[in-house]
Amino acid sequence: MRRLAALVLAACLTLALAPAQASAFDLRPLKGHVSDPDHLLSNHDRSDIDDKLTKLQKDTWVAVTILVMDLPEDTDFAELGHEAFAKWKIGAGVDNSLLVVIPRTGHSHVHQEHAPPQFTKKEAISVASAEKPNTSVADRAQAIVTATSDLLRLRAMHRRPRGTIHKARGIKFLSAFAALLALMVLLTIRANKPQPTFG
Amino acid sequence: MAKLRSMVAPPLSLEPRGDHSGDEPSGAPPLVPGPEDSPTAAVTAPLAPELVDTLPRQWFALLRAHGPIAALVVIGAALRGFALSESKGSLIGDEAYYVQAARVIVGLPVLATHLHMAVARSFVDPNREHPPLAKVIMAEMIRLMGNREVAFRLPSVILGTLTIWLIYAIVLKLRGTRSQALLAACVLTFENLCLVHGRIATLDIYFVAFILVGTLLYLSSYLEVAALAFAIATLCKTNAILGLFAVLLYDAFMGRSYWRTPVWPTVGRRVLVVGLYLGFFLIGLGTLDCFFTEFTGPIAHLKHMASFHAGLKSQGSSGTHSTPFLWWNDEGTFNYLSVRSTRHGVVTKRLLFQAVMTGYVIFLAPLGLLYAAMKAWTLRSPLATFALASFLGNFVPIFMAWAVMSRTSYIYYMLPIIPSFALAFAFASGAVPTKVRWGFVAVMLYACALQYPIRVL
Repeated sequence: MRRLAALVLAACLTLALAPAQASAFDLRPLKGHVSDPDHLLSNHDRSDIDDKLTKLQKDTWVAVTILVMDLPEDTDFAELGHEAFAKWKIGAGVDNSLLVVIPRTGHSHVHQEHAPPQFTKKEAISVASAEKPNTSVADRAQAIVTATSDLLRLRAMHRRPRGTIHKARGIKFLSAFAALLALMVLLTIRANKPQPTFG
Repeated sequence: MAKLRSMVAPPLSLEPRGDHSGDEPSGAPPLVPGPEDSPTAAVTAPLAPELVDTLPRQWFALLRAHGPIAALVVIGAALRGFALSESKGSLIGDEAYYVQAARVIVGLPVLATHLHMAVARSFVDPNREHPPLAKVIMAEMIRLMGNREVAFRLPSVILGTLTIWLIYAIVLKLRGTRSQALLAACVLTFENLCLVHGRIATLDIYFVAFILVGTLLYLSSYLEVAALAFAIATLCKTNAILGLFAVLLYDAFMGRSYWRTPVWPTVGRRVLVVGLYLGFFLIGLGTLDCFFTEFTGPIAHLKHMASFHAGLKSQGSSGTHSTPFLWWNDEGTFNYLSVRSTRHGVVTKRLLFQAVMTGYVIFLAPLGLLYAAMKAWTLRSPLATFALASFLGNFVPIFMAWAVMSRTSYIYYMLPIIPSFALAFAFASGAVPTKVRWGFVAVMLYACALQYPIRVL
């Protein structure tokens, strides 16, 4: 009987703790490009950054999301980024999306979930370190948005060319298609050549 | 002036011959070009005064011959192009798959609310269960005009409008009269499924339009070019293979006297057409695969498509799924999009895009097809035979896929079959009084007015 009670207690404890393990961070539903659950940004700053990121997405086709949050120093940013990508479906599974986490204190982090990533490691560090120390969260966020925007706009000018996947093979197929097209033209002309009439 | 006159005079060979003795004469009376009608003669000789008098008559003849179909095409384009962006932000029906795929191909971020694919890479078609051509066209339109509704729906409007003229030209090629051709064009202009698919960005109108292009070329003896058109249709959606099957079936029906003693050069040319079709399709798919998908060649992609479609099993008649039996009673319908705008509690606008056929068309279709089948057998009428072949070629395989393999089926699978209904009606219209034809046109207009997807109240 005692063993059964212990089992029931263990099961209850497991069930009670399970949600806490599943979601370690307070990620509320995302509206727009900025999530600010602790209200570290003013309404004006939030809407300004959101507008900038919306325009950036329109211009460069990269979805950037900013998470501003009061986080402890030992936060696992990789885990937070992974969870945010999964919950918010940033970029909806498409690779051209990134998340910038700006904690109240400490350094910001750029998280890229999909391969190939938008930024190289060096670029991600340069974006994250664009913030000036000892400034307000809003200023840091604005600085990061500017750095991200500059880099992405520069990238947009040198977009990854289409069809890089099997380009050489594609050109071979294209040549074969052109040859077949020529054959078709010849066959059509031959088949529809006016026949000589007699009498 | 003389050059204009030479343009106005239609070539005699283009004048269709009536399939029925009771048919009214088709369009303008044929004009016999005289020696002075040649461009060189016109340059040297002055214009005779009696010929100047005939010019207005020629213009009238031109207007009488081509005015009605031009009007139908303009009306069809207007119905399809009206308020294309009205469903601001909403995707209609399967646009949720194909427009998203086009956006990914072009490199746009996809909104989470539209997600249908688990993982996607920019510039790579995530919708691997269909060939990429139609989606690539949409993607290029988005690249050209921006991520707007007009951009990805405009090709459908153009192709949907083109089908109206194509069916008209096909009836004339099949020796139908001009009034028969106009009736067929009228069906494709106002029929609800054709109208809705002619203004949304799905794959169906692409392949139907290219099938009709292929059919027209085939009937015009450009068999090899027709193979290319059918291959392009199949690169939009694989169902288009049935279009080629239908024209070959038509050939077989028309040449049934030669079944025992085949004319080998004729048979050989058909085999060559099939070979060309397969070549164009496989090489075209390979090209598109290399530039827009992760497949290394057409065979791997074909295997994927085959396994995907074989896995789509019928789940009975629920939701969007339906059985081919139900379609004949205009059942199995569903809404692609239903939105109501209200102001102060009063409905001001209604968007209702339905996957439903016009009742008059589907209910009359069995009668029209039966009549066409009878006359195809007894009269060997090209128009009746093609209506029958087109119906059998497009419907029977879909029916068999459902009946034998339990394949999922939807009511919009009837879209490529509606042209065969239009042809059957066109043929049958030759046997009914003119007033009945006008009555049919009137009910088509009535149904179109009732079912038109956009309504400002």
